[in-house]
Amino acid sequence: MMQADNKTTVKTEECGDWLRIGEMKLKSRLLLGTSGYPNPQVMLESLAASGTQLVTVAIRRVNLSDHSEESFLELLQSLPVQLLPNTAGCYTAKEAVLVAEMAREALETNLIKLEVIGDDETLLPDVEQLLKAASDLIRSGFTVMAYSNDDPITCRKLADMGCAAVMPLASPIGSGMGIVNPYNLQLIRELIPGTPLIVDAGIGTASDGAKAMELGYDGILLNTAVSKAKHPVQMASAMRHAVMGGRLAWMAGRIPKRFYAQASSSMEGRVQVLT
Amino acid sequence: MMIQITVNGTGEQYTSGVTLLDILQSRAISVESAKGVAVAVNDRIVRRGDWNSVQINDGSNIEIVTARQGG
Repeated sequence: MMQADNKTTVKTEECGDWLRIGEMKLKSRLLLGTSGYPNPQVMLESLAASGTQLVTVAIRRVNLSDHSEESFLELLQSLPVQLLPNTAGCYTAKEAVLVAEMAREALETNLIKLEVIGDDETLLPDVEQLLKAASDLIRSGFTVMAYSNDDPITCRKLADMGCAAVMPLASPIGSGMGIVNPYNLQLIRELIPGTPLIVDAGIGTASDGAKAMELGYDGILLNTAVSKAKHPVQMASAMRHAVMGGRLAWMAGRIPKRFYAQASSSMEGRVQVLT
Repeated sequence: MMIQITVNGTGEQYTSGVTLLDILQSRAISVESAKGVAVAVNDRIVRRGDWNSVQINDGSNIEIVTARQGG
């Protein structure tokens, strides 16, 4: 009879492998955006299929001539999820801080996904403004989850100043290119062992999410890969499984890569064929 | 006397002495119904409880926001 030589059990999302960000404790390591779905019903079904417990929202002007859009917030607040407001569209620290303060007032949460972008073409972060905004918001008591370039030094600065999570991009927002610099992402993980790291932006399909988790990341944040998929609800489910699979693989510990083959079956006891 | 203010990017005229609450109520936003809404006047947040006590001056810029779809 076969016997396992190692009885260590691996934690799963069902038994204690939680993602902790600030005071939050999440079972799901998949964070999902709420933008760009074909309709509200598909968004709701996608959120449910993804298993997410933390969803992003933008802060925008109230439409003063049409209050029907207010139902969006009511819809989200009826779900078993927490809201993570973002500062999308902000180009300066000053703008980002004001939007974060408005988000805190509107949604009664200290959580903020901090985005300070440098231009419209790449939507890449403006590091100088990002660091300033992060510092100001942390001082004002925010739980800052900072969207960052995949630059190890910037990410380390964000972690050192007290961001609750650092979120380097896989590739530019909405590009779906997946992880363009896995070396940098791995370096960031090794340099920052003590702060939750989330890959944010650029995920295109399930394997990208699994790969990020296999690099030791604590979670994935995505939107377009699900909302613009041919079948968003199915893709949301695929992402859920990819993130779980990647997390388990990371905890299980992958085998080292070898240049040459190594037989799995022993040569001992093989049959001899008469020639 | 009339004053000129901007509400969510649109120029509007109000009577001098108007409070923030007056302006919000004229746009069907009340303290009770404003869950999920935040207001800033000239880049400073005004908390819900203070809407009634803030008088709006000529040239003020008012931003009224809420949560929308976002990634």
